[in-house]
Amino acid sequence: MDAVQIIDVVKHYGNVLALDHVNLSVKEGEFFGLLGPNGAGKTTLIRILTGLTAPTSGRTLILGYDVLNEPVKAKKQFGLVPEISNVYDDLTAWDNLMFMAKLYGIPEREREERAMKLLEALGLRERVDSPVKQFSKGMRRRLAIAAALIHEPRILFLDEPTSGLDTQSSRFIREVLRELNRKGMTIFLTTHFIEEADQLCKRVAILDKGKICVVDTPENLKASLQEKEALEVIFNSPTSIDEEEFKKHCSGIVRLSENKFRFYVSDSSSILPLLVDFAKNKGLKILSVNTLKPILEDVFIKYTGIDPLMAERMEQLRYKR
Amino acid sequence: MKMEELYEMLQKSSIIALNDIKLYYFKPPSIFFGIMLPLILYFAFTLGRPCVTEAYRLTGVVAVSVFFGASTLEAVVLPMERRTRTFERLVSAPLSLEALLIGKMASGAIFGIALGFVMATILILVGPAWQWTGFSAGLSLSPIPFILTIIISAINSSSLGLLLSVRAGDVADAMMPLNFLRFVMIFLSGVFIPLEETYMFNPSLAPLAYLLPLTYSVDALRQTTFGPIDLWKLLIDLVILIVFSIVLIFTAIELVKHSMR
Repeated sequence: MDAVQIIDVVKHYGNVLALDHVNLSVKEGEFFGLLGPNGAGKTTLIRILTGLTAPTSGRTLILGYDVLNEPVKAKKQFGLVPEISNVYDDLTAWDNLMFMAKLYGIPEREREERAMKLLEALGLRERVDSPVKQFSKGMRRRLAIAAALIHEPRILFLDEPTSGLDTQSSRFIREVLRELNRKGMTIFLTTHFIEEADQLCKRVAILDKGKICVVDTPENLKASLQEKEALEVIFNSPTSIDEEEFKKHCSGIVRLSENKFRFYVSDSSSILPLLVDFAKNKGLKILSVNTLKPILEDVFIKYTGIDPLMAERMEQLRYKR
Repeated sequence: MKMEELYEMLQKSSIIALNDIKLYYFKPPSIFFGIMLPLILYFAFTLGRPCVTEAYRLTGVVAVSVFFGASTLEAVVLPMERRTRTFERLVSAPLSLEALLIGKMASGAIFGIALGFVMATILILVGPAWQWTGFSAGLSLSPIPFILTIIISAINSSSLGLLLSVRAGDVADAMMPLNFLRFVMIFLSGVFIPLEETYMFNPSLAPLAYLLPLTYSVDALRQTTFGPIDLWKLLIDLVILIVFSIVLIFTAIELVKHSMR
């Protein structure tokens, strides 16, 4: 059975079209990633799936239950970790979990056992009686995950789960998610960290301007770009490049920083002499040249047509290769 | 709706209400707008209007305590929960929107009921000893109708608070229209001054009072504390308050549903 089914979902906010006839399904036990730039509609889609927003048209099913017509049954099947960790600041970690467990109708003894296990697994055992307002951002996110897992859902939705967290917290959360998926839980996450999706997800969808551009495994998506090599060149000082000069030998140029460029080429050896001439004519030195295999980011750029400035910002955000 | 579903709904509403009681009863806006303001109004009318009878002071302060207490809490809880997104946590939990909002309304109503009883107890028991109230002579308390009136009035006031706060993103956004309405109601509903006196100079405006639920609360409270009780009149007061409450709660639910579209 499909864990998540999105059938022809359209969402308008006034005159703005946020989702445009989205169709998608996620199998049980799958680790699924929804990628897209800011404003692509990822959060809107997750809000529709979790019953926080109604679609303008279309249907969403959670393990066969229609989110609009059978909301209570559908909501019992999933846990939600939103981008903002919405736990109660004035309650302790323990009281937050107890409150959520009561709302899900978990018997008293069981709720205490589960809460203790979750706090242990998420590294919060020591802070069980501390008010959440004393927690760091990473701890709050871990508590939000614990609160989403207290009723042992079959599906876990996460909206940008590692956004704004330090490397250590992000790594810890990724490991927790991998472990949950290994145990059979369906994970549906949205992220703009492409490398995160590449590392974690069995399948990814790229959403842009409210439309699903492509859905496949990260490997297949990268393989679809195999005809493209990329050549990353760093000059010793800032420069600009006229795409016309290189038009014959490369299919695209992305400016990654003031002196760093990526050339998408069919044959890297053909463009090298041109680059050497270019540097000579401009009085520049080539500091490094790297040939790169396609990564998921290249697929992302291909489908979203993201501008070079955005690529530069993403380059700063993502891990170094 | 089946009995089991109704039981589950009420159970979840009570979990929401208990959580609100734990979290929000002692927040500064709850204390100021729920407790301090009715007291300030009481003293304003006692010192500034010595001609007001003690009966009006007692029923006035109890009515205002219930009214302010019950309607304040929603104006604190809902905007705060919207801002911290904890309201979304509740919406994504497996309970109906009706159960969620009835739970929110209940926490406000319990706050109003508690304040109403505390104020009534102080004024009835301690007041005569301090000689700043003199109603022991005229007091003719009918305990059960009095308790029922306080409960229904609190539910009604909390429903009004719910409706005005359900879309607010900030406490001030909810408090402003709520305070405007509350002050208008206090002056037009005969809380501290008899209706005949309120509309003495403009009797054509008197029907306005009957559009405001507080008028029925005050009338029912006055009947159940100082008598005489006119059973039909009391029943009509309570039925009108219940109808007002139902309309307010369902309008609030529709507003939330509309905001989710």
